[in-house]
Amino acid sequence: MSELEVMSRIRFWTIVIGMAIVTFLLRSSFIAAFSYFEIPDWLETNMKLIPPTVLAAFSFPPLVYRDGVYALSATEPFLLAGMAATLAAWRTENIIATLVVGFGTFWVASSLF
Amino acid sequence: MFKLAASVPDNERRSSFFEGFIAVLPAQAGLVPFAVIIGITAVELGITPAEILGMSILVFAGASQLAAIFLMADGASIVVILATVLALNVRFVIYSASIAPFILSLSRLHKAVYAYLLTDPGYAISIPRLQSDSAPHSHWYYFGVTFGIWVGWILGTLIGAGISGDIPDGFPIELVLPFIFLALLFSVIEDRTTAISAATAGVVAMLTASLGYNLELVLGVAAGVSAGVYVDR
Repeated sequence: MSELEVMSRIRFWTIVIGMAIVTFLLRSSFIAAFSYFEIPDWLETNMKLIPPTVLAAFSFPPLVYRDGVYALSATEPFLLAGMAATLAAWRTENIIATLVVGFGTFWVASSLF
Repeated sequence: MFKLAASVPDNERRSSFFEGFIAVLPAQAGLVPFAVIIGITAVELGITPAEILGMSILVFAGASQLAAIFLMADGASIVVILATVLALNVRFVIYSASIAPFILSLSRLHKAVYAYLLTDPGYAISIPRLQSDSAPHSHWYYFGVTFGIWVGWILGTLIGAGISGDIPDGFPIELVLPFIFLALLFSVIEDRTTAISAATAGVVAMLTASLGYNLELVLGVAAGVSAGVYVDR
């Protein structure tokens, strides 16, 4: 392995261990009962807003912006696939259905255009 | 291995465990493919099979694993990645608070294992049983459910990592994250407030996508949460 390779492997495991610690602390927060803290009010009310906002912030940009430009032409396969996938996700809330519709649309659109 | 109330017969614990294991089988039909997709995507993006297996074992949380994989491939900073994982997994705190009363008397090791195994479907499928069954061994049902999910998750990851090579070149693997997250997004939108938050986050993130450093994530979430708080005030 090149030195660069070793560095990126180390980086990977550092990140993963960080992820594991964060996630385990969240999971064991109340179970461990070593801290008798209560969830602060502002966190409790706003916590339900975090999943929708984070998921939305991840989902939409890649559908319209790629390789440094906004790709918004009416025949752009990524955009069309994204719109179809959004529709499928809205109606079915199902991961497999969304993937099938999304990639299917991409395949059709990229063959046609 | 686990110290339990000595009066509970082994076969009752065993049957609770297996009931849980069986109860989660229908859900596996959706969970295992998710793990397979994560395995495929990770290897496609340059992560080794051993590494993605390690991540699935150490983290055991699908949405955050997927986000981390794509952020890593994007060269995102560790801060951004861990903040994303925190945001995506903060709901585990609620699950933790909800099941804690049912496992109060267990050993620390036992609690740690049960905490590690906590997931959305694991919680959703076992909480009704935990709440209705006051027998001291009812937590074995939880163990059966969550252990089943864990096995499916690890196997799925292995399978996905293994078949990753069969994916044709030019396949737009980078669409996996948006598509999966879109499905998850609509399943968590439950009222006007969450819908407005999500729409705001999506629009702001799209508008700021060219800023770099994954700023669109921070700005999108900030705008979305602000909008949600404003709508609810």
